[in-house]
Amino acid sequence: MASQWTKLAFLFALVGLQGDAFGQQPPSGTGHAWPPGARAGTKAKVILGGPDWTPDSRIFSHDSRVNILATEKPGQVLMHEPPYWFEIKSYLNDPRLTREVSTEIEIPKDYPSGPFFWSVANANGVGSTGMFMVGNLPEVMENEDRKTPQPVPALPVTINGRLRKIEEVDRYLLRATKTGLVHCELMARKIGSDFNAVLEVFDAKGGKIAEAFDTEGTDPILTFVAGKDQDYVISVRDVDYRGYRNFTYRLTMTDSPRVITTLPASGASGSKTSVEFIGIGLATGQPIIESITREVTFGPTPFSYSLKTPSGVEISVPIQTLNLPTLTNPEKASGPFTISRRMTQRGEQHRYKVQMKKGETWVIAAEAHRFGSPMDPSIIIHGPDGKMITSKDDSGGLPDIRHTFLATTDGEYVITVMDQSGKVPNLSFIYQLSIEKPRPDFQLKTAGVLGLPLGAKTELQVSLTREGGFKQPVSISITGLPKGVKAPEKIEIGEKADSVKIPLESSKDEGLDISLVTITGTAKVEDQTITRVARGTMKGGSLYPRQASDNEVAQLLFATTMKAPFKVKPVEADGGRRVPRGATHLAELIIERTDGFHEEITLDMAGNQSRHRQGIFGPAVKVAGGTDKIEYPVFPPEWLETTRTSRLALVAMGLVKDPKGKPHWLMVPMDGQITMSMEGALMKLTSTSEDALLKPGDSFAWNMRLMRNPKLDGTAKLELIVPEPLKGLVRAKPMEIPKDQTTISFPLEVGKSPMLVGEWMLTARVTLLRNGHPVISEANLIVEFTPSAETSLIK
Amino acid sequence: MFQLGGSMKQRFCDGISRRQSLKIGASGFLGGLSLPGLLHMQATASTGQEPKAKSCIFLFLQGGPSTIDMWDLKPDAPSEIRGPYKPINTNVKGIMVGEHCHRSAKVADKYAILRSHSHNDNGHTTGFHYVLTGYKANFADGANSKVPVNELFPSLGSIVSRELGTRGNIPPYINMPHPLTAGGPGFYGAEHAPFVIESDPVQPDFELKDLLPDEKVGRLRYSRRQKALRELEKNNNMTGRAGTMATYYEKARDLVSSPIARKAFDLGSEPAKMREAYGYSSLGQCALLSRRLVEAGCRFIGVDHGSWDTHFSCFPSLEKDLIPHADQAFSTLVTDLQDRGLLDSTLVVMMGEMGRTPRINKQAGRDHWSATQSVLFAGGGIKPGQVIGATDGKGMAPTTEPVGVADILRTIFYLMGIDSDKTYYTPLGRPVPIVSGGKLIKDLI
Repeated sequence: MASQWTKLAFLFALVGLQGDAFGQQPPSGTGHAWPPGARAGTKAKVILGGPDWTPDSRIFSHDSRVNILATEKPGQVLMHEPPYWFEIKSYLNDPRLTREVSTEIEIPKDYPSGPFFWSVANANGVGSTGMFMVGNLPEVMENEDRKTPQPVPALPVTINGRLRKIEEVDRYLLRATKTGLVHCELMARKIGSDFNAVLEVFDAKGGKIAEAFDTEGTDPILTFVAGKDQDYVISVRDVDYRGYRNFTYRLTMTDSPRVITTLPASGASGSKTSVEFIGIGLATGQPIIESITREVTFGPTPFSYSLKTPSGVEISVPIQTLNLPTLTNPEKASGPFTISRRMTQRGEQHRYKVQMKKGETWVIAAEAHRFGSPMDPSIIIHGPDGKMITSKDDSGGLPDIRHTFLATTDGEYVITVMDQSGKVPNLSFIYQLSIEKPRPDFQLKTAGVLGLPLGAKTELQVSLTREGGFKQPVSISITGLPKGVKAPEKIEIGEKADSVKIPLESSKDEGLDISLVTITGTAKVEDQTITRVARGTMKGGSLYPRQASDNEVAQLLFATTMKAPFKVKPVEADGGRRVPRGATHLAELIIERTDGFHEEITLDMAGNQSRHRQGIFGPAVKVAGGTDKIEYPVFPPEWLETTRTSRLALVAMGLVKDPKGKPHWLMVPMDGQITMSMEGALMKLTSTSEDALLKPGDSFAWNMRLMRNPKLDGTAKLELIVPEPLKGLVRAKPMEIPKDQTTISFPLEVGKSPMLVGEWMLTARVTLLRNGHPVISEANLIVEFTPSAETSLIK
Repeated sequence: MFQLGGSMKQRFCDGISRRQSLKIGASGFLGGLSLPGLLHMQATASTGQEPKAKSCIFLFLQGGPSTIDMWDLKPDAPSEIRGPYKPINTNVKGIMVGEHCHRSAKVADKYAILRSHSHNDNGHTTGFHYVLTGYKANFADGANSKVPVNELFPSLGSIVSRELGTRGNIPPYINMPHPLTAGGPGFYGAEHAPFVIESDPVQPDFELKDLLPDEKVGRLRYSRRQKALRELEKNNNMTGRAGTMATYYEKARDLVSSPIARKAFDLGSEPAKMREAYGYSSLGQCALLSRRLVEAGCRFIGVDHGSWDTHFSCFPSLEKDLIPHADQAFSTLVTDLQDRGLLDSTLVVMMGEMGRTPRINKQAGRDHWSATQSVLFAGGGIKPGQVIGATDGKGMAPTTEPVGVADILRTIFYLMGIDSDKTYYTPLGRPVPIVSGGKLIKDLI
């Protein structure tokens, strides 16, 4: 055993940082949470999910204030639910296959509203990072099995919902308790769910009265006027009708006016200023953008103002604080200063004449997005000679600008602010221009998650951003490294350097470990010692952050990993195999084992599949130790397209002991994919009954036709598949269908239950074994249940 | 006398030139075509001699068949070229084919193998375009995902449709089991688009949904609906997409009301032995259905059979699926046609858009190689039982005069009695000859 690990250690020493450097499959993609958020001060039962998790994967919170406890091991790989899309449209819905695990998340009562990050780690690395939102309003969960709109409780409320499958539309029924505004704000992209939501509101007659389409990736918001005791249906869907388990959202509904932004956007702590509050219905209660003005005395940071509207509603409005002098005359300015203004028409330009001296460095910020304004600012700077020096638009992938500018000569510089949003401005198109001398300071950035194989070396890069003329060296310290990982005792970023590569080395003899790591920089700044924590950017963060730092964490998740001593590859790597739809295809796979590993491995579906999966399924299959070739059963459903190559990607998992003798699940992706060119099915079940109208207690004979390939011998088994909520309520005894029988009458029994309401789809599945593996065909029947007097809920 | 419908005129040209009017006698404007007109059209399309091939079955092995493992083996080449398969004798002395083509080996006297086909387009979609239209694609390979990809130039099936028109109450041009990627009508317009079956004949419940009138709609109601639709179309100047759709509806109506068409598509009436002889594969059952459609009068059937793009580990797929299916379908089709006395009047062509690299790659596959490909011809007046052309000892290039795409198309059209030099004008007035260049494969005819 020792020699085996020595050999592995030699191999490990050759390569670098990432957990998948040896072909391992770390937890991949982004993680999702169901529900996607909870209220502060609660212990929430939450299902977390992500692709390529091993049974021993562990979940970590990147915020030490929040505790996540997994209450079970990850379950099986979850298939996409039907319906499926075909041809080019199938490319629209391409989420990875995930596993899920039940957890309890304990959130402190004083936890601020907003997100925290979590990640998954195992012996293959770290990944599947996700966000979890903490809110401060009452919360409810969507009932995913409802066939009718879900009643909304008293406002305000946050509904945790999910578009679990394609073409799903979630509907909520709101009965307004008063006449006035109802404000609906949906968060999807803001919480890391990668879909563009559509919010629609319908009145009791089904007429659409409001809609908001998220065509810009900013999440939809809408406001409508509700009448007292009137019913409204609020519907949520993806703009392309996509859906999957990770299409989670938070829909917050309030019945008070909404503040969009303020003018000025910020104020100095301790100052008293007249502030214009801009929002919907603030003055009149009507669904229009309007404003009211109040005298505000700014308190210490963070500052919130309690705004009372004319209608008596009280709203807590957070306002930024900024301790800079306020500019009053844009024609004659000198830094530092701040000014907030409004754009009133398209194409408007605001010019600021600013005196600067040669050698001065100024941080120029033009911000709107950060304050909730829809404006997209850009700036142009002209020098004293009238020539353009630079133009700036967007910083760090966000609309706002933060630019460090060096004046090269004495004189009057002109800063021009413009709007690039392309929209017709309204009252909320405000921005803040601030110019200040940068204070000597520094920021550190590094990776968000790390993986390092045992016995390997790597270099972890930490980048330094110097601000305000800061030139001193920065001393770096690392705490919380996994067991067996060593870093140099003294690490420093030199005076002229802007990064350091920290050499890390893991012991080949230590057991695997996972830990949260903090990297801290310390430096002298003007006789003061300051420390800054290196922040890592998370991949699974908000897709529409207010600022780049929203997706950063201060604690990095670091795992030591091992190389899997096995791999799997298909005999036929690509193309060629003609496979009948609806029949199990036995794909020949070769198992290669190395380094003396002879144990059992498990093959299962990988998270990352070909785009057009359309229900292709492969089970978890155990391969006995010593077996080097197997036939893996892939099931391609009978509806697959015959015009394109269909594929299935697998991963292989095996339990391998670390040097301390503790077993860990190692995972590798299969080399290549199982590929199939589909042909017509061998057997086809077709419904010949028309849609049925049924009452509780009814019996019904479902007529079908079964056709099969002449070579398909044997008796087929016919069974009824019903949606989960109908289980036990609609029944049929399985039937045996002999080879020569082509017409079938399948007797169904309908139970008596108030649940039997609305339209449902029943499925008849016929299965026949060919060489011991199933050939399956299905037929569907639409049934509509009408309650009888006995079962009706409405008496 | 032909009359040009207003909508046709608008669709095809800004005005009819004198030269066009001379050509238009055979233009296939089928909107108001009478039976005498159809006969006249066939007559004027003649090449001056009685064509033997009244129909063509085009088995298109999409992806590029590895013909070096099927019809042109190189047993004396190094192992990385000759591959694992051995040549076997056929029933024609001196002609050998690959061991997995043993069914075709027994009927080699019924077809000819052209071994010197060569061109220089190594792409798939561009290759489809080139082989099926005779013109090079104006897009990069893979850059056009539309089907059909031939937006301007008509495919050979559409050309046959236009030149020869209908023969019986069945569409003249049919694709199965799905559309040929470059099988569209190009500037000829929707009336020469293929009728696409979009259903795999190997499936036990195969039936053409379009042929089954809705049982809930009575004959009288159906007739009234048809009349109402015609009135609607007449009162609206059907142009653009609406016009195109109207053409499709018209084709579908014809099919629904045609007992001949229904009978042709009724594969279930075929004896089980015959179905088994063709093989229970998509290609096998498509070949069988093609024969039935030829019997019903179809002019051109394009069978699209994919999966031949075997870059990786190609030999298991070739010997388990691809070659046996093609071998069985082709050999049975040719034999069946002959048994029914149809082979002389039915041209069968089997080819792909390219061949495969003679040298086996590191992934145990063969890559794209348009420089050599063997093409099979049977029936329709060709000289069977022969090999035409040759490639070098490694199968890299023809050693005889290369036979290009235009040569093949010109020869197909010649056998079907179509004048390849006829020129049509695009809506922008660009002259497009049916085949640009090329010459007849004289050894074949």
